[in-house]
Amino acid sequence: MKRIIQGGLTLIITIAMIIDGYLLFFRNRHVTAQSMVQTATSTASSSQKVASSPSTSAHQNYQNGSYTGKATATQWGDVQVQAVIKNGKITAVNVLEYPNENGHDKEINAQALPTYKAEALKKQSAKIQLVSGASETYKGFTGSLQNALDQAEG
Amino acid sequence: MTETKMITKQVIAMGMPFSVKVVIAADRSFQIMPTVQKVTQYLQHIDQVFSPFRATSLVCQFQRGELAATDFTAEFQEVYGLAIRAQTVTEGAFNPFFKGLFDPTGLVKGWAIQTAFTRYLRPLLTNEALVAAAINGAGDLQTGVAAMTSFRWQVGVEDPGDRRQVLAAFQLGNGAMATSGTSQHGEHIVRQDATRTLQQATIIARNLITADIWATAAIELGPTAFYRITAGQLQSVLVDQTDQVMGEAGQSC
Repeated sequence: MKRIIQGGLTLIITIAMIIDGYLLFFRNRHVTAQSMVQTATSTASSSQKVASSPSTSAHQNYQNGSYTGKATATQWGDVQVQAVIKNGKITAVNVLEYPNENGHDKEINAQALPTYKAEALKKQSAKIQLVSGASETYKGFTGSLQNALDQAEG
Repeated sequence: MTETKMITKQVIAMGMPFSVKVVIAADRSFQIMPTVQKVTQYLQHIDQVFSPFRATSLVCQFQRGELAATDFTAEFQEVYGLAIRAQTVTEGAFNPFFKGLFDPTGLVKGWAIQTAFTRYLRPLLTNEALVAAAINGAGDLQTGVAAMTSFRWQVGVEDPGDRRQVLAAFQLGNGAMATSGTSQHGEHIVRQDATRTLQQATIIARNLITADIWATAAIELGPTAFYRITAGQLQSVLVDQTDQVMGEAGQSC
């Protein structure tokens, strides 16, 4: 009796493994096919000869219509976006907003204490570790106080 | 308080300089490079996906109407959702559209720094390796400190008239600071009323996404509308066109 149960279990496990392996393989193949065609279509815009390749299998999963993504939590409450898809491409995105529990963006900050009076700052700037500024370029940064502080630290 | 030392590493990503800083106990050592590499790789990845200057980015593909349904990634969804949400809360002053096309550039850097900090630096603050950590991406920064430390980051606001000086300084524990200026858009606007328009806006908030979008919005709004919409709930340092500095909550800085 014990043998029969063992044999039966082994058989069930083997079948499960085969099914699992098949699904995994099938899924992988499917994803690979998708990403391959996707690559082909993204080059299609610049090269006409690829454009004639059929776009059958790749976009089977994305029939024309709206597809809603997962909700993302933000500081302003949850947000969920919806893609409008036509011929496998996103033609528009809609945003579904959920009201913030607080009603409005609450960002009360008691934690940032002003440390120095303006007059004292020139003498105190050696103690500064981080500088917030509006320069956005590398060239701008090289002349900035932050860069000088970073270099001074070695 | 025990003695501490700071380790700084500068990296270039998105065509901008980023400073990654950690503070450790003076008698300990910490290998910063693995963390810096993860941060750099992440920032480079974000640049590939969201740069409006790369034809292959998801943003550019979307602008051309060529973004494949399969590229509607969680990241893309998050940025799109955040951008629209930011537009709403700022009453349109933060605008993620340029000439009618979706362009989240004004949000992506702050979002990327905040995300990189949360993923790669914040966890280090809980395992006793670090006293404090920060990322400063060309003037927009996110800071953190370990739970038991009295260490606070000394953060300065750049003087737009003399970039080697600071206008104000704040102590930050877990927080963020972002600064926007009129010059960064490469435009020189002749303002009719110089006291009602800003040349620089700095916002202090818990997280950098908030600080970043409100700094951008403040420049667009001017001080009066900014104070009205935010109703005094955001800490800020605003500099008008006459070099007048307006501190947060009526305090002089």
